[in-house]
Amino acid sequence: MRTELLTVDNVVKRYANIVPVDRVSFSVRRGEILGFLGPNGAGKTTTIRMVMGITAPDEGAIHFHGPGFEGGRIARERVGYLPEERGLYKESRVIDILVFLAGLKGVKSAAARRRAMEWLERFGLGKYAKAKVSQLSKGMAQKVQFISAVIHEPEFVVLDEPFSGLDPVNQELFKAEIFALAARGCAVLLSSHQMNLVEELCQRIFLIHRGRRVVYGALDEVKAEYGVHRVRIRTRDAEWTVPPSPLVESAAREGALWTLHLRPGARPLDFLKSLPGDAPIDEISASRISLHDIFVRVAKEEPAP
Amino acid sequence: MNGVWHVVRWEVMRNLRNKQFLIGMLVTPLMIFIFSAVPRLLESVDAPSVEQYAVVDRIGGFPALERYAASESLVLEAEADEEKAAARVRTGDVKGYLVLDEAFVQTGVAVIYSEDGRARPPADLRAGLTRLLQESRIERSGVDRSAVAYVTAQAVVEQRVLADEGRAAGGLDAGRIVTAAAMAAVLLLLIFSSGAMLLQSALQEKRDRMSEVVLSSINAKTLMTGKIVGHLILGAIQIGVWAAIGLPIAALLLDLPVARWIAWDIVPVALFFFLAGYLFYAALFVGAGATMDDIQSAGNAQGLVFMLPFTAVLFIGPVINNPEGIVSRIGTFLPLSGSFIILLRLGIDGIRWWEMLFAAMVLIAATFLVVLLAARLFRVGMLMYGKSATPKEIWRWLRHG
Repeated sequence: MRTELLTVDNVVKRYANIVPVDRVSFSVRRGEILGFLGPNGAGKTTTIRMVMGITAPDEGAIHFHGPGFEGGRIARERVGYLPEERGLYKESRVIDILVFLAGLKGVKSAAARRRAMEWLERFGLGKYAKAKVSQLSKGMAQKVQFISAVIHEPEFVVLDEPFSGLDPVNQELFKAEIFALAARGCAVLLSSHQMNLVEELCQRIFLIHRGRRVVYGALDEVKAEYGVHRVRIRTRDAEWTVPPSPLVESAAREGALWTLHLRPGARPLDFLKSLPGDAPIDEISASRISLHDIFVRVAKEEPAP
Repeated sequence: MNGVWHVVRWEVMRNLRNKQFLIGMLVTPLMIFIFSAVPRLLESVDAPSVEQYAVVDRIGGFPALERYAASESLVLEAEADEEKAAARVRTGDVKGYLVLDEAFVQTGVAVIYSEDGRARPPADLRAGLTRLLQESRIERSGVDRSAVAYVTAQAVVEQRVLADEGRAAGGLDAGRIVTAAAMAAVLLLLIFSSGAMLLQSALQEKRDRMSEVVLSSINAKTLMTGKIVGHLILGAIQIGVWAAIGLPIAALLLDLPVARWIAWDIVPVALFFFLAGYLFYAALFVGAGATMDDIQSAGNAQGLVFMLPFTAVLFIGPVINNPEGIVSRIGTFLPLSGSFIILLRLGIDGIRWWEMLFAAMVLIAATFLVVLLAARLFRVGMLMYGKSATPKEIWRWLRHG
């Protein structure tokens, strides 16, 4: 049974007449990767800043659990943060920045230098240790930013859009490192708009919209809650239309591709049986609704079925 | 505290590795040297050459004229008669000659003979002749020569501080003036050079998108304090380098009595107000920097912050004319100008201990308040990207932080 490292309890943040975060509660467990999702402006960054102790909540409480977190307060040397708005000192050397940021987290200079070199070698950046940041490519700089968030071996790390701008090879590299963090017991709060990666990485998700919780729980349970299936049919006859069925909730067509959402409780097999035997179908697939679709439904404020 | 020293070390080392900083540190004393030495050089190049005149004296006035017209650029030589004097003019030995005779005393006209008749007598010679003429005429009217000297003597003006209990009467002390003026000038220089660097440093955190990462490790006050102290150390290094280059040049090349110009007795007090003044303005600048996205997009109000150190200039005249006057005291107790005016008044020995104590208390309280408010601006402003804060936003941050 995993233990909770962080609990966020009924947290509220107000700015003048705006309430970007309104009674938000969730928890992150040790060794878990929690997907923290939401459309732009939903209140993710404001919540993350409160969790990281950069700003304080107006109401509610944020508690860290375990040795080293005195009085339930954040211990800055035990947490790591890769913000969405991130950069590096452009005119400074890579190794100097990593040693400085590790130093702020309480890592001694010699140890910080050794760990920085290990990480740089692992990411294939060993020869750039003494290069200025301005000489790095965007992908390289992003690796250095990732290293700066984890070099002090945190127990809790927030990764806000870690994959943005990365090519597929580097996405795989980051995925492996995030899995490795969780495997050694680190609690990971992952915010990303790349739903396919979130589905691969996260066991649970928290979806926030307009400052409020809309979805929270294990990914499978959330999908079950949204419980509909999606059927995709590619036809060879552009004139052919899917016959009306009481099992289908919605149908949309893009050229030769039909996307149908079944009604809650409807089984894909029953729908397939209902199709005429001579239907000009080239391909057919059925799956549970994706996280992407759930996200879009939430963003469009369509209720769960 | 550990976080503060980390930031201090980072700021110092980052700048010491920066070519622009190093070049600026070395170029500034070079510029100061050029601007102070070149005028002297030009002055010596363009200095009037020494002019020689022969004087044929028939009334016994030459010794007096030589005394009255004494100047580094003028040489007068007595000549026995006009023929010899004219011969010397023709050979170029002297520029011209003149005759002191009865006609000069009667008419007041002194004729200068030269090769081309265009020799313009120097001002010192004209002044000397005028004085000789006046004395000769008074003497002719029967007044004794010593009485003439007594009557025509020029007044000598001296300045003394009014003696009071516990204070020795005396004139202005050059050492105190130079020490205080140098510290005020260095303070102004430090505020502008370190202040500009501090501002750039705050802007850089935002421009390089580093503030959020750093603020997740240390709080805003720690970051701000580290930056202020770091840039104070950088400023001290700059001043140290400038002093190491400038003082030997001043002492050895320009022959200035540097050692005699340091008044050690005022240094501790001056140093206190120097540091307090720096901290006050550093906090003000770093707070302003946090409200800007870049210098170009900053509003006029933020830009005006950098004019505030010049408040002291308004008080300089009144302080020199009346160091213990009401305007001088207002300037002393006003935090914006206090540190400069106290340095100035220390220099001219025109400040009492209770004024310094009161000014110190006001300056410490004001610095504490500015640091507090700047920390509020810094905490919120450092997380705002893409635009400079409006006055309304700044006011809201100051109130709610």
